Amino acid sequence: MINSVRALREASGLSQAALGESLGVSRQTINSIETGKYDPSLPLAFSLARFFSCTIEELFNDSANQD
Amino acid sequence: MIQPTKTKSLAGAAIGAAAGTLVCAILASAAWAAGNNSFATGIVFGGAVGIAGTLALFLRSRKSGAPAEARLIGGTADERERRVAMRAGAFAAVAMFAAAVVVAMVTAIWSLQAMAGIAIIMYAGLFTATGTFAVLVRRN
Repeated sequence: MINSVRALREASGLSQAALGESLGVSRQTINSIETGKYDPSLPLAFSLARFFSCTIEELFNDSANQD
Repeated sequence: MIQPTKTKSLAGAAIGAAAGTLVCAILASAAWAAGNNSFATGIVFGGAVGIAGTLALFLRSRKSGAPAEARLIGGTADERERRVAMRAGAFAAVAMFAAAVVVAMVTAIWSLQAMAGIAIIMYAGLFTATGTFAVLVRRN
């Protein structure tokens, strides 16, 4: 799933470790989300959206599943 | 905030290590009393290595930048690492099932010691679980 977590994080001037610490997950998990290797759970997706003050739809794009 | 698994305290880890040592001692004593000296020695060495390794990972989990294996043992693994651990457990179960089938066939055709069959099944699960976790947590 394509997402804009990396762009928003870099725009916020945060490191992966700092974002992970804020959300209670590891740096590796943030990296996996950014590279699309791992799709976060709904609670974590909500936490990410809340952290960046946007909606989940703005953060994650499942265009591959849309016709 | 996403809640990780409950962080284990130092006292909890000490109690776990003590309980593990006690169980190993009881099993080794029983094996020794039954005359299975080599089996008892294996329990002592295997138990010591297992408990020492677990304690080392637990202590590592209390420092920053701990690897996923240590965070899992220390109770600070996040949702991705817990999911990977669950998948590794599933892989281990399949491997143990396959090993059990092979052991049953080998036992039926050639006479295999029961102890050896059990060891093969246990090691198949142990190595599959640890190996799969180590690979999956770095790939996913």
